[in-house]
Amino acid sequence: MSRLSFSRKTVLIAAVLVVVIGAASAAVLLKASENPSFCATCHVIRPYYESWLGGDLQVARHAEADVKCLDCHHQSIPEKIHEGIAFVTGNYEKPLKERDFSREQCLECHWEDWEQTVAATDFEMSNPHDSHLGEIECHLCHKMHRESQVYCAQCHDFEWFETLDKSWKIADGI
Amino acid sequence: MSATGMNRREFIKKTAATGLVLAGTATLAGCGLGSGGESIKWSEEADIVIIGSGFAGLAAALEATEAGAKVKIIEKMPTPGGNSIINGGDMAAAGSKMQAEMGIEDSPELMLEDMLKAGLYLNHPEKVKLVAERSVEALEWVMNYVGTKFVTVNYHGGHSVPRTHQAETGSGGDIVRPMLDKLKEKGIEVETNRKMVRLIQNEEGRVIGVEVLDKYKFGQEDSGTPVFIKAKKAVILAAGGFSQDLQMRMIHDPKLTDKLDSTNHLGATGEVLRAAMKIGAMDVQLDWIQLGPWASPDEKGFGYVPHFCERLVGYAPMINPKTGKRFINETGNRKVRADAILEIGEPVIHVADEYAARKQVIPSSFEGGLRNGSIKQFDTLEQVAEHYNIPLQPFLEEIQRWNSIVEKGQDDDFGCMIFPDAKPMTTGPFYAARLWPKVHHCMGGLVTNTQCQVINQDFEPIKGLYAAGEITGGVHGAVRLGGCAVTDCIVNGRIAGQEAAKEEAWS
Ligand SMILES: Cc1cc2nc3c(=O)[nH]c(=O)nc-3n(C[C@H](O)[C@H](O)[C@H](O)COP(=O)(O)OP(=O)(O)OC[C@H]3O[C@@H](n4cnc5c(N)ncnc54)[C@H](O)[C@@H]3O)c2cc1C
Ligand code: HEC
Ligand code: HEC
Ligand code: HEC
Ligand code: HEC
Repeated sequence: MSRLSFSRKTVLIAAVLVVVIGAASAAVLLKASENPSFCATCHVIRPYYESWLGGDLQVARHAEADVKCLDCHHQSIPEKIHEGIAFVTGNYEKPLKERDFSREQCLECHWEDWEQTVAATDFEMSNPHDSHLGEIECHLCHKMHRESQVYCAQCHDFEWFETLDKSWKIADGI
Repeated sequence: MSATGMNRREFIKKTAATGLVLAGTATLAGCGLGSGGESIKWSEEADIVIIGSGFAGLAAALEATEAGAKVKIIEKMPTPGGNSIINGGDMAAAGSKMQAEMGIEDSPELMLEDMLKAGLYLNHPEKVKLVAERSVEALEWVMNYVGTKFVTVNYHGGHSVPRTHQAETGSGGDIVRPMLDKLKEKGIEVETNRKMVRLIQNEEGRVIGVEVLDKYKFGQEDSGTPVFIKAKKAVILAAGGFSQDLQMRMIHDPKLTDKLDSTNHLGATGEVLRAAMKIGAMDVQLDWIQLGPWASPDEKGFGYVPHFCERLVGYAPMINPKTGKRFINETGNRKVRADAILEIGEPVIHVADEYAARKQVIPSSFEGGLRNGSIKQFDTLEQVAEHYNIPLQPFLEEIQRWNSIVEKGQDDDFGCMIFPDAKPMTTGPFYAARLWPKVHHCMGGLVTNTQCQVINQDFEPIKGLYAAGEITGGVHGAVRLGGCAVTDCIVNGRIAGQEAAKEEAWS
């Protein structure tokens, strides 16, 4: 909770900064959308850029398909403003905490090939895209800037876990 | 507030402890954004706030919505459904059409008798009676209103007759998913990653809302931001049991150490039950925690072996590997079987022949178990004895004895129910699995009346507070029979939703 306990004064200053930085950060992100290497100029973001540039993580596969930062991260303005404040006040976790990314956001691009996707993972008697858990968030398994993890593994040991490539790790926890 | 050194959060805790009104006013005087913007104000509201998204919570939500109430469903895990969505989809109902079609004679009176007997008559009579009497109505509601298909009627140990109706794919998901869809149609989505941490009362002790941690991440106990949600009519607690709560279960039954695995989802912990007790709720039989005697130490979680074992009781014997002899009535209830295995002190062996195994065990579970090695195949009984280190002669003699019991159709040794189509085990291959109990179900919990109101330490209902499902106690007494949890959750979840909707709003 200490993160939140500003004094009144800090809050006032922050409120003023929102106006300035909010706009500024929006501009920064806009620039990043055109040129991802721009993101690398800021040290917290560098690892994200690097994971996109290449390597085993899923975001690199997207880079190969020419998907850029803001194709995925076209967040709403309030969130950008919030990040703006956090950045200026130094009030962000290091390393950054994993963000939620909604199913709807993934399906913006994957809706059309969804049936094929479900069919592609129809492993013997179990399917991560069609299970008793119903429609669950993609990010519970697929991570973009870190190793993906099969959510089902907390309760199951399916044989196909072994066949997954290097973008995956198998762990018991959530 | 920061000047006094007491932040908003502590201030709230203190006032709650002294039973003051803490909410109802938009913000507390003198506490603006000063303490980091965290001020006590209701940031959201609903007529009814439901904690937990399993059978009980969703049934309550559907009924309350049908009655015109605005509901919110709060769930701490990243996915809805709790134990319900991983459950085996077996629902007990006595006197159903499906039973009649299969020539099974049954009645609510018989179900009541079975539940009382297994429950050692510790069941609260009016609660268990209600569940038995409304079991068929509940089943029909799940079939017709929710839209779940049931395919057959199974037998579970402790019941007098086959009584558990199996959902289409043998998963509670067959019930939970259409419930979620129905709620979605009505514009209600389960609010995941939100953990309830406290019940809020006004000065009269009426429950008026909850504190939840928004964007909570299970496993990261410092995650999430406190948010206050106003419940204009009621809060319904449907947060399930506490089988995965090591600290709490060991307080009530110190034998249930970390040496025992659990079949439950990881979020089956007791903080909501304790939150209710903090405001004076009465508890009952918290130390009756059920072990699943059909679980295997050779696979994780629930696994496949329970389906092997439960389908084979009454067809195949369980053997104590130390003596080569049977040790228990295989069709006995979970309690007697789990206790007997724990007393032996090492996993026991359930062994069947090809005829029984193929006939009884669902192919997918059978193959799954063979694949992960929890079920093993042997050509001869000698190989079975060798593999599990069972003394050979006594074991072979015991199988002979079992065969004669099967031929007679009556077990004078342990009183096992022998099914009419059971046959002596003579020819291989044979199949066997090791059994070692896992923590499975909490019979005890909050005391509720037949309207599902939570009862306090003065035997009075706590105004504005309801509970249903595994978080409550009283229905099952000492032992819950297979399939009876779904029935309990549906019957009482629906009642809780209907009754809560009738409450007069306090604001
Ligand atoms: C593997 C397995 C198989 C089973 N098979 C059967 C069967 O075939 N037939 C049968 O009758 N019974 C069966 N049972 C038992 C039965 O499934 C459960 O008793 C039943 O699902 C309980 O339902 P519920 O709605 O009370 O709780 P749950 O379905 O467990 O739901 C409670 C929810 O509340 C949430 N919650 C907990 N604390 C909080 C909090 N602080 N804030 C917000 N949310 C919270 C949990 O995360 C959970 O999602 C089985 C149980 C297991 C584990
Ligand atoms: C294919 C979609 C996609 C692309 C392209 C993408 N990201 Fe992400 N990003 C995600 C997802 C999903 C998350 C949530 C965490 C995760 O999956 O690792 C995330 C999280 C983040 C976070 C939040 C911190 C965290 O670890 O959760 C940052 C910062 C970030 N991305 C930066 C970038 C940058 C910079 C680029 C371009 C170089 C980029 N992302 C490209 C999908 C994407
Ligand atoms: C901006 C569009 C876009 C978004 C948003 C997006 N993807 Fe993709 N994704 C793609 C494209 C394009 C491909 C490459 C498709 C192909 O190869 O057919 C792809 C490929 C994939 C693949 C297969 C990669 C491989 O291993 O070959 C996975 C898995 C995937 N995406 C998951 C996700 C998940 C999960 C999300 C949400 C966190 C997401 N995607 C968000 C566009 C997107
Ligand atoms: C329970 C875990 C899980 C969830 C949740 C999940 N996936 Fe997957 N997904 C997988 C696995 C495992 C694969 C197979 C990866 C492989 O073969 O390398 C996969 C593969 C894919 C692929 C590539 C399929 C192909 O053609 O080979 C795409 C695209 C994809 N997922 C998208 C999604 C989207 C979009 C969502 C959310 C709507 C989602 N996934 C949710 C586990 C999951
Ligand atoms: C919290 C634990 C849990 C999680 C997470 C979970 N399951 Fe299950 N699952 C179970 C249990 C328990 C059963 C068996 C229920 C029964 O038969 O009584 C089961 C049964 C199954 C079955 C049928 C039996 C089998 O093992 O072949 C399949 C298939 C399955 N799950 C797939 C999945 C997939 C795919 C995922 C991930 C998207 C998943 N499950 C996530 C607990 C879980």
